Amino acid sequence: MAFTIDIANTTANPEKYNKSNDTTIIQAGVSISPLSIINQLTPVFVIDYDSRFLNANYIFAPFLGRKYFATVSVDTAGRMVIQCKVDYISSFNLSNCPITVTRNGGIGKPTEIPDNKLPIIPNRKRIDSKTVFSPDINDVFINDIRSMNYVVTVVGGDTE
Amino acid sequence: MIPNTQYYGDSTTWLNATTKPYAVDNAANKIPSYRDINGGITADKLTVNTPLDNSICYAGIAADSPIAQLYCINGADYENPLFDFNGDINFIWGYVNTTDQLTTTRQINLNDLSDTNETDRYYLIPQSQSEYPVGNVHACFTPLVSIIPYNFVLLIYIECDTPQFNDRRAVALDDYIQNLYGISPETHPNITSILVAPFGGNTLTGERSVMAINDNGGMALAYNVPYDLPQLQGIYDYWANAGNVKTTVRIWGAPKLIYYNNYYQYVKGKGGTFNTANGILTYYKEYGNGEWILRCVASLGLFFAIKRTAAASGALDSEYMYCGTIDQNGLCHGDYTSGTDNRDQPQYSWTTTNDSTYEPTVIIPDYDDTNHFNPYISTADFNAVYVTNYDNVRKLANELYKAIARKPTDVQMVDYSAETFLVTDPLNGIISIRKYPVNNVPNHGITGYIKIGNYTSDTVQAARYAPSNNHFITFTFSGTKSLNDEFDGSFLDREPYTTAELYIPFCGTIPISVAEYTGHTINVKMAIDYRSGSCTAYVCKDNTPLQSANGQIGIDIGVSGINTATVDGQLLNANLSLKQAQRQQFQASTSFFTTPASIATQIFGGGKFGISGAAGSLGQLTSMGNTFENSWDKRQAASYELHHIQTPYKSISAGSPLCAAMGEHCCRLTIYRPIISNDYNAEIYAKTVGFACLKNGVVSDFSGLTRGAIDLNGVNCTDQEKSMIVKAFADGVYL
Repeated sequence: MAFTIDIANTTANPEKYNKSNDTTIIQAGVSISPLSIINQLTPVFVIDYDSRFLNANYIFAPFLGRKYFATVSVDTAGRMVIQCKVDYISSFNLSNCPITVTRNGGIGKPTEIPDNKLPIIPNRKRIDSKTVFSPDINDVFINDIRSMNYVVTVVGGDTE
Repeated sequence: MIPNTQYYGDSTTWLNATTKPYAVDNAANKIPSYRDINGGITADKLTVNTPLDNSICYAGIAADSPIAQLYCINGADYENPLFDFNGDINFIWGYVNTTDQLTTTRQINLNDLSDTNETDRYYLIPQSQSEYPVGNVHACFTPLVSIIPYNFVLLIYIECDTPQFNDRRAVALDDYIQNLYGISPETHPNITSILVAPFGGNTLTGERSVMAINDNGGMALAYNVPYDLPQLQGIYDYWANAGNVKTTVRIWGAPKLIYYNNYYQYVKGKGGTFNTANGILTYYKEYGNGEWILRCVASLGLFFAIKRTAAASGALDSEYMYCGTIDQNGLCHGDYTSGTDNRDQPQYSWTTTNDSTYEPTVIIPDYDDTNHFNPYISTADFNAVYVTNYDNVRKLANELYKAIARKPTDVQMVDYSAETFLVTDPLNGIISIRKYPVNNVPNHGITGYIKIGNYTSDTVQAARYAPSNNHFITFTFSGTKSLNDEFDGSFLDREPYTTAELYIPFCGTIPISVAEYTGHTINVKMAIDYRSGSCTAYVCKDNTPLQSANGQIGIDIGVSGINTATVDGQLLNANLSLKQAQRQQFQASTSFFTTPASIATQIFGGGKFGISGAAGSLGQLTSMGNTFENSWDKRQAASYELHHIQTPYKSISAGSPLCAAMGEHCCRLTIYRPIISNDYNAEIYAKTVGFACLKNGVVSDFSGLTRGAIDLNGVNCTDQEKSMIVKAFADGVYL
């Protein structure tokens, strides 16, 4: 039984979920013939030498339903040996998986949740002062000797 | 351009502006109903501070929202506010088919963004529209009581003329600014133009951004040069239609003026002919970040966009998509979110218009206009309280010291009858004198001679203190919000990272809860007790007092009052001591000068005692001499004490109110904000660390570096792979 793989090169971080924009297919549909047991998580493929594959680092193996990080080497017979390790992040559709996110870069800015990793300078704060004033402040507080602003409280007199 | 069906639903469900809205209410989905305006129909009206219903359209207009502050011109009274705070109709959502009235007016259909010739449009219509009866050109206005925002994103349009002033049409805000002024929104994001609302004649143009105004030759200005004309606020004549009917416009804010001379081209679009000799004056105003217009639209609680592309194909959390926020009372204050922050709004996740859990019958007062303060509570006076000024206090001091000078020196001669109560020592009748750093202490305004006890001043007049309601000093914050978020409402804007304190004159500095006051206005009302000199400052969140602080505002004047009772007692005792000493001295001297003769008799008369008797007599003489000297000394001491009695002053003085009076007389809000290291780079931080959050959703809801706990139930992979995936998400995955 013949199987095919797509040999590609990716520049994406290994932890990236969707690597399609960072991945270039070198050649699709490369035939392989399993000569022994293929491990689903760490398969090894042997193919004919092709210099274009020397920079390959990513493999699509549809028959295994997964994507793999690949390391290419050449054996003594001149064949290319591709050692793979499953890319479990990108191999499965996780789009609808529920998730509780505790850190996220897409937010773009701090949230209401305290972030103890944010580099806040300790023991220093910027003073932002705003004056609150009354529109008639000059009328309210005035220092004019003509103002009737002395209150004299005395004994007796004509109380009211 | 592909309509954004992903977010707005299938286009067949969109509210189609090309046909009239659904004629029948659909209770399940709150399908818009409409009613033709018929002589001022009162149904389906919105009122300030009152949510409409419990659908997504429940959003009510809060009284402090910008749109509630608008004034409209209703053709009859140019001062009527757009919203009637008495609870009447304020605004309605209107649907208009402009074909019936302005043939050259072009509107944009939200469903077909390439079509600029559509004639249907939705308006936010002031209440005044209802004044027009069915049958005239305004009958086509149709109020909507609710809209389906899930399928309906407002796009901010402004009605204006093209740069050539040869046509009238609605264009997107950005297009308008760029076309008319040649200003790119990318480089000048702060310009909006809505500022003039023309209305009059037999044309109804809605709110328009730019309006021609007949200069009448009064303002000679350079061509196309912005000119600040803050004094132009008001109402101006302009020529509105083909009939040369003069009507009016109103200008808000501080517009800038640009002079154009293509007046004719402008009016050509209406088919009219005007006197081209006069120029056109076009006003515009630059608002920070278009804040005013954004807040107006946000007051509706809907999604809206300022870019046509965002409205058409942008996600609800895309950059130029905005969402008016709704508080827990279902009211909109003009606040909004944009971009990914829209996800935090309840509207974001609602899939039907009835998803809101808001229950309109339970309204938590937030904007509190209740009067929490009471008028002055009158109390009876046991003493007399006068209000006077600086000069009269000085006169009073002089007069009272003269009264003391008339006091008889020999206290035993004084008649202590009731009639003389405080007459000879009126200074002792002063309880307090305080100066208040206010312009006028409430008083009756009628002056008379001050009476202290039974003493009546000869010269000093004062008014009686008059308790009134004028016992509050209100400090009003000048801006709209006293405490704003500077870090987008993040934890950095909350305590303990951001703290605030409020200095209140005479009361000191009190801490202010940042979370409590952020987004609100702080006002301070200071109540003054003119009897005791104390004051209490009430710190209000908007109008609701939340905190108070006490202080002393009355500055005590040191009264050098003699405690006459003490003086009298000391004088009396000293006199008595002196007299006693005088008597003792007299007795001693008499004894001293008469006794020596008998002693001599004893010595030289050869008495039976002999020498020894003589010796005893000498000792007695010496003793009498000492007694005499002692009595002399006592008299001298009593005399000294009498003449050195210290006048006991009572000192009433507290420096703190005086010090406070010399300090700042306004309330000062000081905010202490955290400082982030200069080395911080948000973009890199986002890619490498990620921002702390606590969000729930599905993987596709997130982008960028994401860390969290994932549920892989249903994913077809090995358990080993699942463990690895879980661990990978715990460590961080780039989505």
